[in-house]
Amino acid sequence: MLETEVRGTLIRAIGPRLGRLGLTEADVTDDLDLLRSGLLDSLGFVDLVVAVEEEVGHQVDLVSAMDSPGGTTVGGLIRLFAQRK
Amino acid sequence: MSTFAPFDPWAVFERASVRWPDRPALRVDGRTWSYAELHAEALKIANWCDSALPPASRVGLLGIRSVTSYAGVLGILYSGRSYVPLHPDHPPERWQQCLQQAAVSGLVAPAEQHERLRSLFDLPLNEHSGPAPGGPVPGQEAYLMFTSGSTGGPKGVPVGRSHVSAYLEHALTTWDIQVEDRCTQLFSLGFDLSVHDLFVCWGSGACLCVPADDNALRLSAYVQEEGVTVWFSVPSVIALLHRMRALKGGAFPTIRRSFFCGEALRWPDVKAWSIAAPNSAITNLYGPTEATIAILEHPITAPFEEEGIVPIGRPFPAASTRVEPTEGDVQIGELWLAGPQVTAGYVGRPEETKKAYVASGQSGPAWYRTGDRVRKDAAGVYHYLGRIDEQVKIAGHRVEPGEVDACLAGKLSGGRAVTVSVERNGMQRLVTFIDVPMDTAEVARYAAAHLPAYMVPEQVLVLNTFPMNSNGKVDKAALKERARHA
Repeated sequence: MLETEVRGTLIRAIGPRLGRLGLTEADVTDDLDLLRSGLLDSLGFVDLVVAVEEEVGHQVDLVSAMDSPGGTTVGGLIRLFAQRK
Repeated sequence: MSTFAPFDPWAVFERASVRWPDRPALRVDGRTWSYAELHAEALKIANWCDSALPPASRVGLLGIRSVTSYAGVLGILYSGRSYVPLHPDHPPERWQQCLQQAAVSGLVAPAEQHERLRSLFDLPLNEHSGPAPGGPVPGQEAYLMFTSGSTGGPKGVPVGRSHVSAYLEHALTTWDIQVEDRCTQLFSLGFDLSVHDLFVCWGSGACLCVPADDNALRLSAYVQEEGVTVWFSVPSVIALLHRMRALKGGAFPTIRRSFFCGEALRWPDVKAWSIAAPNSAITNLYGPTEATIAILEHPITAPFEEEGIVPIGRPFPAASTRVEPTEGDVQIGELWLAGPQVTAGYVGRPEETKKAYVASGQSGPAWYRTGDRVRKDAAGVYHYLGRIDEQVKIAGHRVEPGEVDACLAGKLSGGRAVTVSVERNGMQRLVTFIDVPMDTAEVARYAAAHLPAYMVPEQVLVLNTFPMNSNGKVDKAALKERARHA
């Protein structure tokens, strides 16, 4: 349930930006790196995490998450939020 | 070496590499390069420049965070040429504009980028080469940096080695950076504040620590792992770290000296930084690219104020400043700068040069008009009040909204674009309004293909008609208000 919620919020937040890279919602797969793809810059990524936090009602440890491989991918973000219920 | 100014950028590196050949000069890509090793790499690039390129020419440099870029800067300067940095994330069209304006003779980039660059440009690319056989050449120009131009397209500021020397003379005799220091290299090489990173560090015999691009979000861990002691960034980084909740008490314990430059520094950010980096002295620097890196400084001492922005301070001793009054009060007006750091104009832009620079004459030296509105207080300290024009800073980058509009006009088939900036979450963001019913994603995509990322509007919104003010011009204040609530 949480995964669906996070993914939905994430797509709503990055939706307006997908078009500028010629991407659609179908391209938002788990291995899409939100930073390396050029979809978001550092600030945009942090804004996104804060938006998801507000939506799901809990905070995550963003700093330590950055140490894990794939931390800035869609799948990485979903795992980050799933770690704490 | 006798023909070099004492604080010439090559000369300060050369002195350090003679004095401390085995000390670390550069940490990049997980490897440490000693001064002797980096010196040797620089001489290979210098040798290629001498064998393949005309003397005293400009050389493009793809600013990727690799040893080739840092050795490239040094090697190009050693050879008496000037470097023209290209931001690796900018669209190739932007590179093309810069390379053409600069009339570069060749390009330096890591070997793995050569195939891509060959497909884009017909220019000689650096090749593997032995060390340069001749000695260093004291060239005139050090680098050419591009900044946003209001009348469309980037404008290039040629900065002389004498201008950089004047900056380094102040920096290296005032700020007490030590051989044991480990200094951050956070600025893009396409941003002139990177020149401070490189040469203040190397001129002190210290080690330059270059985090990988994807380390931007884990800077506190990087600083601790690398034992970084000297920090230099735009103030926006504090806002970013704050938003990440990474500014916990003592999060940056190793830092002893912090510099901020590139945009207004807020007192709440100073307070937050002083808690996160409790052992650090903090200095606010101010200066446009046209006056070489920074030219005013304000060492910050407690007590900190609760709100507002930190003064930009006093000019460096060799600099001259004046307030050109724009209002009744003679202590408030546009800040003008003169002195050995102030450059002479833009490449191929006589009209813009004429607007921004006041030629020397009987009335005094040549002045650069900053466009910044300031107040000088009774103690001679300058306070930044805002712009006299529409230029904005996005994460430290100068952006002329008119350049965004001029670029998008190419897509709007007769329609107009008006870009404004608004503050959200402590950062400036661009919002563009267009007056033609178009797919806004397509407009954003066009912007992303033609402009650097920091100039791409965060939102594109369609209006049937633009609000007008009583002078018959587009009412930008009204657009800003709409953008705030968009």
